[in-house]
Amino acid sequence: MEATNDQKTSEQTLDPKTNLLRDLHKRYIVGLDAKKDTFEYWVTEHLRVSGMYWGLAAMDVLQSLEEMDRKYIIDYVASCQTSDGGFGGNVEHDAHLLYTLSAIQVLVMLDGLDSINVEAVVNFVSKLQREDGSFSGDKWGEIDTRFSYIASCTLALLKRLDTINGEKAIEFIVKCKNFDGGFGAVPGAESHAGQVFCCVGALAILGGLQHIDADVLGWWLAERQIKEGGLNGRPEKLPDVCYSWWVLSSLAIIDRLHWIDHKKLHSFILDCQDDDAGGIADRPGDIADVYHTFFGVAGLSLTGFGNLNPVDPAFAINPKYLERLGIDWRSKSSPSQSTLL
Amino acid sequence: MSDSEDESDIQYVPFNQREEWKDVVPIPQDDGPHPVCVIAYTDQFSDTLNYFRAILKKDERSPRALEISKEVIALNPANYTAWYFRRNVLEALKSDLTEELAYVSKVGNSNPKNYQIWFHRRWVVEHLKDYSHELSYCAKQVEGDSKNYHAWAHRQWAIQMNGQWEGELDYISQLLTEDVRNNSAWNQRYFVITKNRAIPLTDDVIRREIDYAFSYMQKAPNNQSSWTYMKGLFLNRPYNSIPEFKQRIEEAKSKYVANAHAATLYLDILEKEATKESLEAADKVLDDLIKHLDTLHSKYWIWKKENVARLMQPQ
Repeated sequence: MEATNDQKTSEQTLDPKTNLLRDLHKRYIVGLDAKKDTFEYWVTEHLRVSGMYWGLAAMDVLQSLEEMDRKYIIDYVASCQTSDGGFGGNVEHDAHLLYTLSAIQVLVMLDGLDSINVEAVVNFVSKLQREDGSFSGDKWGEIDTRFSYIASCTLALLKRLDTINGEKAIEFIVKCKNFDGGFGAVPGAESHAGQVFCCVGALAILGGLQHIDADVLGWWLAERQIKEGGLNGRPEKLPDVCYSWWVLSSLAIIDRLHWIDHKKLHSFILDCQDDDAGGIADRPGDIADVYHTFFGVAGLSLTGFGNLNPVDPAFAINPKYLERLGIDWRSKSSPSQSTLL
Repeated sequence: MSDSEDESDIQYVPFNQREEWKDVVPIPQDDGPHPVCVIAYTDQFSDTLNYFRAILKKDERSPRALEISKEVIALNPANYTAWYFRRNVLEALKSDLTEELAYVSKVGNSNPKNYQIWFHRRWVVEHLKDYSHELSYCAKQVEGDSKNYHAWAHRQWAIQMNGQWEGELDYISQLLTEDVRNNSAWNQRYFVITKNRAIPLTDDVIRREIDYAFSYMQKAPNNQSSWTYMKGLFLNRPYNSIPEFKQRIEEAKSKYVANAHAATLYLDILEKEATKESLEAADKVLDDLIKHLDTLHSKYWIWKKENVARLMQPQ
């Protein structure tokens, strides 16, 4: 969507390599729901609820949450709750943990939890825990540490962590710790920054951070930064803006954010902006999407880029919502440090 | 757009023109008015999803329900509801899962990183109790993308279910010969040597693995995987359990003068040794890392240097 000369804002004269094009990104996010004639709209239909979360959370970081239509979003998200208590990715979709967390995060941000059946959500989520402490994403049984994180995060936001076996949940996550200090999706699976975030985030929420050696993991995470400044997810892979979140939030939780070169990372993220249509892409020159837009601005926020709202590294929402709910994960546990100290 | 080889020969016909769907009333998405500019594939999308919604609502588990789930998947293989529904229908119809394995293989070949497809495959294989095709299927995906996370996780699962450990180390060597930087292959090697109960981790095995890592390291000394692997071998044992290891690393460090990984591993050995001499040597290695070997991570190395200084102080 190109602006005419008359519509050119002062922002369009800014150098996208050193400036965050806030207004452009806001216009991009707000305009997403209207683009019903695009392929992208249809092929992401099944995860619309998550798309709403990424859009809303990004607007919050950009200090513009109030520009979103609160009532419309709450009503829409509430209509995605299914008879088994969880949320589908869109209306009439089956419930899945992925969209359940996104729905709860959206409702927390908009203070709309009373629009849904909270007890049914708690029931849906807690029943997904297996005997070995792991969580499946739905009744079909796919196991992944992503779901350990999602379940913990959802229940913590609903103040119902008591409905799962926290000790067992922690036990399973620790089994996914690898020889290089990282974490994978299941025991034995390769260390991957996305899975690391899920494991570290879950341990933070469940109060099991003492199982992490902050120095060993911090170093694995710091090594994700390549010379040009971007972050990758595994050794020898390409950098991607979403790792700005998975890696940085993990480092923030274990108090090692300063081991990343922030300036270089900022350059990389800013370079991924689409200075024409708005939004942020995974890599410079690629097409933007709302997922990378959120993780890009969240990464900037975590590393002190100016004039952005904060994001809690464990819950991925503004910490003010956690304060309102009385959630303080930092007081529950701390990571260990190498016996060297 | 999903690139389904088996769907390309089926021409899309709008559902209201299909005889066998005449009794179904489509349920449109309640999205608001249709946009002015409608593009061809969105017609097919909305039409198919509208009819799918109708079948979902009725929870109709029939042959045409199976067909439409295939069409929805062809349009969007990540539509997890379509996969759920398909499994329900397969169970209700008591369908031949051998055919289903062929189908999920085809769709998987076109969409190698799709979570739903990998899970569906696992479900089919578990029901068939036939793991015999899994290693070759995973190998095919890895051929297309040597680091496909799903393929590797599925491979580990299949091996553990089947006990098919034999040949795995050779397979890994083949991959590393093609690309020594393949971190996934290194991870797999660690998986095999630690999870295969038939081969305990003796000193001899550790020595063999060190030699192995060295031989591949030499092909790409700046790739961290082989170094990380070596360090990983000592996760649950002290470095001095293999006395000659320290010297080998020291020699490697001297040989690969600009190599941060060699220095990093040598540093770890010195730190864990924790004698006056070793810590003084560690301090010198840290200076090298900070000044020129790994300036990107200088903040980390400076912090390490402070740690070592603290340790060197008299108790």
